[in-house]
Amino acid sequence: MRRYHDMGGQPAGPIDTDDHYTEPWAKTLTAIVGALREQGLSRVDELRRHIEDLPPQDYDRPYFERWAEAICDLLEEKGLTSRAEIEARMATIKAELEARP
Amino acid sequence: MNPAAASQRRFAPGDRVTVAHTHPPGHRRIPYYIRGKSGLVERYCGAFPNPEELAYGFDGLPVRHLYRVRFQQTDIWPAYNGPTHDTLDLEVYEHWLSPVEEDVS
Repeated sequence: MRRYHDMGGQPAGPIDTDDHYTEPWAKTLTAIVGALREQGLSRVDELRRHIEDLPPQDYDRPYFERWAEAICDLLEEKGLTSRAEIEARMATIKAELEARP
Repeated sequence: MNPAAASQRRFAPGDRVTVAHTHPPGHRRIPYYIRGKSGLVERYCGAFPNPEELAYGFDGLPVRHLYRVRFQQTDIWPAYNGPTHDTLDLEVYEHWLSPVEEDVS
């Protein structure tokens, strides 16, 4: 059976080739991936596996959101951190930002 | 013997090969559309750690031979309506390939 990510040759719409703005968080995420590789903690094939294992509703999200989901899964699998820990930290940062005058 | 060393190469440029028509679980990089299709070895690309193993955190050794295989588009897509000489090149690891006897009709 064809897996969801394996879409070569499937009917698809036109490709948007315009340049687009890269959000700062996507750059941070790219740096995290680079650091994990540099430290020998993950390989490109591992990240790809996690991206391709995402359920369709996550796989259909924008490129870097896909990465974010996959990296959470990868870090959790390796026991480096957990999704709960990441979400708790995100909530703390959000609260701090909202408390700023 | 170095356990990381590659085995002897099975194919050379010009050899006709078929991609395994199988859908095993795991991290597989062979696109669905090319499984079971035949093409010609265009070049030998070298030997590399197996990404199917690297994807699970293993070392991917021994290294595997990688070939660039050239397929006819009309062999891949039954309804292909572009020029008949159009081709598609795909890099495939040796363990996904088997030989095709030229004289079998």
